[in-house]
Amino acid sequence: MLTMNESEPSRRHDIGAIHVSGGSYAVIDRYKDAVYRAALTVTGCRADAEDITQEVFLKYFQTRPSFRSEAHEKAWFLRVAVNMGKNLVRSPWHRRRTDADLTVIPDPGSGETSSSGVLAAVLSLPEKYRVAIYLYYYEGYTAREIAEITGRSEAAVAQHLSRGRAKLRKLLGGDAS
Amino acid sequence: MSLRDEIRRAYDDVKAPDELTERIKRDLYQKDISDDAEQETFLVEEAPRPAVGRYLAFIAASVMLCAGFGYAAWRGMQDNVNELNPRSSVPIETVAVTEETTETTAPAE
Repeated sequence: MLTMNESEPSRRHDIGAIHVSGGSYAVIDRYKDAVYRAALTVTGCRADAEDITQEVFLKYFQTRPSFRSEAHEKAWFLRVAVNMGKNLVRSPWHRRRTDADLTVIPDPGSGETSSSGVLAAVLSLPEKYRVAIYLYYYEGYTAREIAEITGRSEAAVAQHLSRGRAKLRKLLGGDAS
Repeated sequence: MSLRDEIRRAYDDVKAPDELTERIKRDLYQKDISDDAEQETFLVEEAPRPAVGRYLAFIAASVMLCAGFGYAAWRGMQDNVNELNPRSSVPIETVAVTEETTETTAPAE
């Protein structure tokens, strides 16, 4: 079971001081894609996902949290990315943006079942559904672990998964089992 | 193909751009350098030591000045009390007359 909190891990360095050695860059290569995917899932915009990815690694090097295991470390990255994405999506500045600024994913209603079509279908779901779908189907977390990452109850996550799955099947034409 | 496989395949194509990785590393490197520079500046430019001596001298001078004013005011009040004591039963004119009388009525040998 994952137990984590963004502010929970002990800090080895003072906040604000960034000490990056050559070896520390490995963590970027290890988690950049996962963080980027999580950020893209929450925001639905590649530019925002890039900004969030950058912010997440900046936060990591500022706080230098220590982790019990690699799974704990990955979950921390995903949690921070999801939370930052939520904060960005809920910000007044983001709400004022036009739809044209956010259109980066192909239309899921085009009928195509290619990977980009599936991705578009996932990203067209409400934010809480698509985060649950991404973490469950791609990252392989259980509903309980997703609840800890997203800060929601396990029952709520299970409901989001169920409804998201139903909507996704509808969007993809019901051919996905 | 199951829904899981389709989602996996879709997300497998999503990767962080290479230029983003380079940007993150460059940003962190620059931050690291700037933080080091700030730290050096902080070490070189030590915070000025508080001027305790001057502070104490200022406090002492203020206290002495206040004490002087206070003493002068107290003395002035005391003088006023003596001169304008309403409970004094001896009129000033009487005192003067008495002194003159004393002088004039000195016993003659």
